[in-house]
Amino acid sequence: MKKIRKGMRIELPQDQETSIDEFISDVFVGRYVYSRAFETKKYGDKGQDYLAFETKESTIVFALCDGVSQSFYGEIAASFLGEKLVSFFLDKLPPTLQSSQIKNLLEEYLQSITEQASQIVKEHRIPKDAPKLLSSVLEEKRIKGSETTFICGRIDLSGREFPQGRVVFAWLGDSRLRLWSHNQEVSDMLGGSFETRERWSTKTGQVGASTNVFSRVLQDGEPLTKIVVYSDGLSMLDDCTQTLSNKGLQELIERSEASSNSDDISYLEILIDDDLACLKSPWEDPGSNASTKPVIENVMPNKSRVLNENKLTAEAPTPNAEPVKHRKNGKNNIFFKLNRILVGFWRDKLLIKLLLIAVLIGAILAFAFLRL
Amino acid sequence: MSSQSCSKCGTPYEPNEKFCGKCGAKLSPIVPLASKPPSAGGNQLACAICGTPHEINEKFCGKCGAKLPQIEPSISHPAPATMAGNPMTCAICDTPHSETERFCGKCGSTLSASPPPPPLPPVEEKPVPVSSNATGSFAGNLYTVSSNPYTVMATQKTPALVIYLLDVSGSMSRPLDGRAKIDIVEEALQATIRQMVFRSTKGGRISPRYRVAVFAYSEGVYDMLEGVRSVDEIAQLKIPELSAQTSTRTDKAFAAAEKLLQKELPNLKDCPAPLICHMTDGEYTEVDPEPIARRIMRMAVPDGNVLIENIFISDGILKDPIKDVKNWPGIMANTPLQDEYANKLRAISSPIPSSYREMMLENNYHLQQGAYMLLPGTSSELVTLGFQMSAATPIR
Repeated sequence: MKKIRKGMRIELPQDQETSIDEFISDVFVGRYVYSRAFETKKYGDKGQDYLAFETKESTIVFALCDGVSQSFYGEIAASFLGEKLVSFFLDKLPPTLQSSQIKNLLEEYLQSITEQASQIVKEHRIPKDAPKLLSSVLEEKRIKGSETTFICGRIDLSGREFPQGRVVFAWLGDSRLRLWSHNQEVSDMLGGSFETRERWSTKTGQVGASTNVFSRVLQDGEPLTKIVVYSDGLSMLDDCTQTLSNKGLQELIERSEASSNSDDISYLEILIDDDLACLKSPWEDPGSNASTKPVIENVMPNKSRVLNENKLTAEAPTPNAEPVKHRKNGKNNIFFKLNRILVGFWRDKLLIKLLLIAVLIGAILAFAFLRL
Repeated sequence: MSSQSCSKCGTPYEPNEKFCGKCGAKLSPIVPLASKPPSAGGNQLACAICGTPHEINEKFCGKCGAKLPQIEPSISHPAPATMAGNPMTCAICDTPHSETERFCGKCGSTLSASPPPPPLPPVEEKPVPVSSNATGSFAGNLYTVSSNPYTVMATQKTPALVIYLLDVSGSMSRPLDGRAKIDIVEEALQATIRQMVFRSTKGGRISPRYRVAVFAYSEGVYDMLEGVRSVDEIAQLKIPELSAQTSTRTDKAFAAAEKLLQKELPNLKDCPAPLICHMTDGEYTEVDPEPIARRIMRMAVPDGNVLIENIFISDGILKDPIKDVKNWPGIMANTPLQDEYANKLRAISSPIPSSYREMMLENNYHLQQGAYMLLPGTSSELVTLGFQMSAATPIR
């Protein structure tokens, strides 16, 4: 599990695979993966998906973009927009819960960056050895611009500005965004549309529709405990409502790659329950020899549903794809509670932090004095 | 159409006419595609550019370097043989010939030694419906069409097969919108290839999402690409030029497509349903192609029955001209057609699948559900629309 420092941006390279990796920050646990389409790997091309995220104090921001292959080098739009969105959501998102206000500002921003993006498209070189017809087609595409879908979001845990926390998501296109509240998928609350024809263009900005924006209090009513975003290359996951172990997820990725419709895959899963701050991998397979043990409860929505080799929602289990088991009564564990208290203090209570440090220094001095 | 036109007055004439019946001018002999009549030996053709004779197995002209048409003997032969043991006759002019001859000494058309075709199945009166769960069987292969037909996407692993059958009879040299029809067709074909490249490009590379065969036909069938080529291969080729010839043996073109499908279908299990795009400007010569077309329409892969699209370049199909092509609903089952042959073509045209219709909608063509894949080529825009439709396979 990778330890993420605050302010550290994780950006998955587009020219190679990133196998399933887990991360832990002060307050978030998650995992991510990036795998290019079979054909893209075969020819050593860049993937057209882009995935990045960054944490800052009790905040995490992410962006997932899926470049449109029929546009001019879709990977250009994907990486450009992805980087911009992460920065925008970190630094420029207004401190409000009003979707309309966020939407207006974001749409304005999406339009404002087209000039810079168009310049990148203009300067991109077409291979000199490309056949004449291909060159001509690429030049035609250059005029129309590079296009991408996107999903981006920001999660603020409880703090001064948002005592009950806040989530903001924005998207355009058919990449997937799914939400869970403990054991229930609650993606329906998002509303909006996830249409293939909707995308962002380096030339014209939004295409096909206006940007969908969703915002709400994190802990209100149905508290959000997990979000999953992935590109349509992993559409086989669409009908699966359970949490897959790392091994199960890997098997699904391999199956997607082997299919005739193999496309680039990018995947990000974030657990946003406050209780998860100090946890280790919740996605270890049962019987794994790894030192980390799964300790979360309530991540599995339906423990009776298991992964079958050939059908995700089948009832018969397979040894390699069992659902994750979780330690019972994790929250009653005294070490868990102590850990949570300390982490919570460290995160939010600056005065108490200073006090603790002062007490610690005092204790050391007192000990030294007594020794003398 | 079966004739070429007088260069002086434009009056059509038949292959056996030597002088124009109207103005008396001497008529040019009608020659095979891009060639002059074969020499006495019967195994030579001439370069369309410089007229230099060449052997039929040569690919390029030794004098000017122009690419020479490749005649596929197996598909260009009609099946005119009478009873076994009897002499064979030319399908065009009925001149008897021996089994060792490959070309008719009188009219120059290619000859066939192949046996007569098998008995045809009964011909249905209405177009074959594209129904879900229909079963298409062919040549020992049995596929059940999925409940959601024509949705398989063309990918590198599962490319779409598109077969073009292009009428290059003499009448194709006549004008439409001020240009020779054959030039409009050639331009539309090139635009379609370009569209395929456009839809197949990922980054700076062409992904082979389409496979294409082009058969030009007149009195024979000419394999313009020398087999099935993937779109990335075609992008590096120069599409051979089309030139107008004599008669309209539509049956031979469909027979060639049928033969190709027989060979290809076993390998297309996971691919989009193949499509045949047939373009003509007039009625067939001699043999009705409908029975063969119907057999083809009964062929299927799991994604659906083989699709047939017809582009009929003719002025007299619809009662009223199409004023707004973008908002034209298409030819429906009850659309009155003025031309008898147009009715026949409708009977061998597939209803446009929803996935194709949506693709056309993206290009602002508002064809209605239930419209047939039959385009009246009354303008170059409609001809182009027809060719564009042939490449509207769903693409990832």
